[in-house]
Amino acid sequence: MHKRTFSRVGPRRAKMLFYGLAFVAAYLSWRLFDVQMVHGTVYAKEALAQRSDTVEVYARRGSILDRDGSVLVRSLPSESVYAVPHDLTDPDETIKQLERVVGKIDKSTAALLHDRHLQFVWIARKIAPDIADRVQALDLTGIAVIEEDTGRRVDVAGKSASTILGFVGIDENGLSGLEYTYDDLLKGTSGRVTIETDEFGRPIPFGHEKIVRPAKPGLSLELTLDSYLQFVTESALEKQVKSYHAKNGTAIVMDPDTGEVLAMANYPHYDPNAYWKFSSDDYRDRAVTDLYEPGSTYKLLTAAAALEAGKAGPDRRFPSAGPLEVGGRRIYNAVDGLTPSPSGDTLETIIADSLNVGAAEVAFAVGSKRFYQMEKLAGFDEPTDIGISGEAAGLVPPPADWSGSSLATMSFGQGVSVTPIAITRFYAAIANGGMLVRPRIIRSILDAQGSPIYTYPTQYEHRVFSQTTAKKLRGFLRAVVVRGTGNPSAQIPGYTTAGKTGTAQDVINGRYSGYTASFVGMVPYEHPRYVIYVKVEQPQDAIYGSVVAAPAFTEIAKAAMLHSGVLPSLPPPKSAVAKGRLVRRETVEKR
Amino acid sequence: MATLALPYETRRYLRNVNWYLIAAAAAITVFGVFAIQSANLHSPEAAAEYKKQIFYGIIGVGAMILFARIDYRNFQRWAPWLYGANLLILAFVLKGGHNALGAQRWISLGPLGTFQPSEPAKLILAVFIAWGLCRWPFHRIEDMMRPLVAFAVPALLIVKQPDLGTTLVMLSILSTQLFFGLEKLRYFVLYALGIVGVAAFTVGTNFILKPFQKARLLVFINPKGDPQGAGYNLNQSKIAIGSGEWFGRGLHHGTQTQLNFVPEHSRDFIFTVVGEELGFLGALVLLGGYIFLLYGGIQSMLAARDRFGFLLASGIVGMFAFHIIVNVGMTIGIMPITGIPLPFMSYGGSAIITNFIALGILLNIYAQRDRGMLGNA
Repeated sequence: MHKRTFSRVGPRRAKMLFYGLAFVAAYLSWRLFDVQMVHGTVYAKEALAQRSDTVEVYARRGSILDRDGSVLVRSLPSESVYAVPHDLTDPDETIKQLERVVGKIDKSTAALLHDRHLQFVWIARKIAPDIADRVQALDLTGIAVIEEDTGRRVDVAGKSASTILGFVGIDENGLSGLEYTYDDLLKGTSGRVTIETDEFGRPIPFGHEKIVRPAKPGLSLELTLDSYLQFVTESALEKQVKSYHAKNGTAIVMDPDTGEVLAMANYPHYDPNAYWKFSSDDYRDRAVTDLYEPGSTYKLLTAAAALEAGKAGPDRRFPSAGPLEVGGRRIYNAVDGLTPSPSGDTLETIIADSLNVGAAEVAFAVGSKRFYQMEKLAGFDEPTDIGISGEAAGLVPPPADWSGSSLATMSFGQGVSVTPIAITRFYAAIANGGMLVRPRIIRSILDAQGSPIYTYPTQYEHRVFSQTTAKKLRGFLRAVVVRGTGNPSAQIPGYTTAGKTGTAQDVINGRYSGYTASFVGMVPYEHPRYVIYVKVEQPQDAIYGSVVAAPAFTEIAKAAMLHSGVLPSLPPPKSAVAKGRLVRRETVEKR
Repeated sequence: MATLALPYETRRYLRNVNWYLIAAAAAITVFGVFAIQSANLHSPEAAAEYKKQIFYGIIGVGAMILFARIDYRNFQRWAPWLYGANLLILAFVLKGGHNALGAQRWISLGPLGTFQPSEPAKLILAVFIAWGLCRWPFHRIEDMMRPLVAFAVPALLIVKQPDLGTTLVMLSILSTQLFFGLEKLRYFVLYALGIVGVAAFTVGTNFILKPFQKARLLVFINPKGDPQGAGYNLNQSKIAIGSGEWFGRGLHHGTQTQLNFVPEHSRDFIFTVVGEELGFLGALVLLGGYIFLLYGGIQSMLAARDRFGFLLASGIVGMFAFHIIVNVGMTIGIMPITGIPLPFMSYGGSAIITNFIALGILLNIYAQRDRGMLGNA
């Protein structure tokens, strides 16, 4: 029976099996076709993605250079040390060994290293390469050194120019100063490179490498700062601030013809390499961010307005004795001014001797409309656009907001607030023949190779006053130094200086308290090469600009002139003079 | 033409050789040696595998010739003894076997290496079931118990190792033999429904399979759900095969293979090497080889001179078919991942020798066709 059914059933079912298998084979082929042909490219891409890893390539942040190309700030490739606490066999011993190389490890980090559940803890970030090498040499289990995607920022100059340069955070992001303002330019675009890796994600040596996006190093900034002048300015300022136990100080050196800021100093300053150790108050570039009442240095604006309006001929005398009753206020001559003449004084003398009452009388002669016009022309009501973030615009109220005494007090710099850079720019206009120049701190933007890709041109906003007026104003400023409030503290033997002292009362919370001593001057007086601004806030023991600020001016001015190669035209020493005469006489006699 | 010059006896003998089987198996084995060599190009510890595979292949061919010359009808006499001895060996594996990769599947043969008794166990089951189907009456549904128990005892010993793949292969052998051996198709349908029920029970509960086995079994449904865990193998294998596209990336140039992304790629996942490095066309050529092999197997079935031979051959064909379909299917994500090697391709001595022995049996069955009851003309 078996045999019968076997012969009947066998071939039929074998056929079924064969067709079944044929169907399965067809299905397998179709699936294979689907995977390999229809979706093949997708899988091929997945395969590439899987055995490749895209890594960030460090793009160097741009440097900041001074006007001679010396490096002020630069970035270096950096390395950091981290731990895998899970792999540490003896955390205490590891810490002990590490501390010998990287220095003290703080308690909270040490505690993390004892946590066996953790896989990653930073130990020291952005350390110097030699330290990193020493850590690697220790060859500790669970401790590794990794190259950072961002560099280590090194402020070569340390505290110098720190308030201008600013600083960066741990990821090289600019947090303050130029580093912050020009972050987008300075920071590079990190590149991406796809590398082939094995199953554990390790790069395969000489494997296929594809640059997805080349690393683009950041652009560099070439500043207008002159490192030497910056240093001189900072030390001169620091000396004055310290000797008068003042709260702070600001000094600016500007080329009046181009608006280039050659030095800009604030004291106190800080070290950008360790910015966290300083008060955030010290980070500020006070030269552009802080408003103050300028005091007598503002009298030049009054004088400029009077000259432009033709209200102050060389012989016109203004009453200057005082006190002056105006708008319910009595105006006295300031204590640092010289004695006024009972018959009135010329504009030159009012400036030279810093007579408040006289300035007020001049302002009355000018009128509020023209006075305000000059304030606007001088650009005191707006930022100078120097290109440092946080710059303040002066507080220059329009005549509509004035009280009865406003014009009088504003004529000698009370009731208005301006920034040091704006005052410096106004004096630059006096120095350069009347043009309002845009102050510049950045000279050029350089590419990674150091060639300039953009150079900022000198930019004159507009004319503030005529060349004649400028020349006359310079004469007034010279008079200040020769016979006025700046005599003799602002004089430099061998160089012709000109300038104006200022002693203003500080406004703190809307009340006058303490003084601000300032001096704004230029050298040489005939064709000024430098406009130099010095301000010291809240000096103790002495308050006058002539005493507190002028010495810094002379120090800076002298150094600047020497630096630019102009030797002082010293009167020959007496012995030489005598000898000279003798020689001359001899020659005459011989003839 | 050349055969005409040969003596009659030789010609008759050569005519009775099933050339499909020999050609397909030989070609696939050579193909496999190349694939193994490529797969292990960057695995120094396994670099010698392809040489060993050549060695095992030669032993296998020897075994094939030996078994081709043993009258298969002897197995019908030896069947109960073979079956009993097999159970003893399998029990011994569980007690004193060699442990590797979390499984106890091997017996140490001293200097000869290790031996995996579950491989010949498949053939012994095929012999025993064929024997049983020739003896046991199937009048009532209870009669189905005998073959089921005959399958279950060795299957349980193997599933304990644990070796789920081989157990499933044994089930496929039983199923094929029942399909051809049961006179009434409705018994087979009932059996099939029962299998489906058991499968559902296995997947639905944790009684039979360990959770990791279940996760591996079912991951093919949603491999992306756990790409680094249970789905890893499958995803890697699909990526490798898929990236081969038309012509493949060239032998030795399949990155997924060479960089060891694909696991077990000289063994269970050898098909991915072919798919990636030789492409769709290479895979089709390999599948064509297997179609030839199965066609030759079916020829042997139909050439069988008696019912035992027919059922034995059908069991072996079922075994090969299951191996091929499930292995290729799992690499492209249409079958669960069950460690089932690809016949004549995957590296493994016990497997390739067993496969050649099975081939030898098929050749012997075919060679006796002149005395057969079915004939093939």
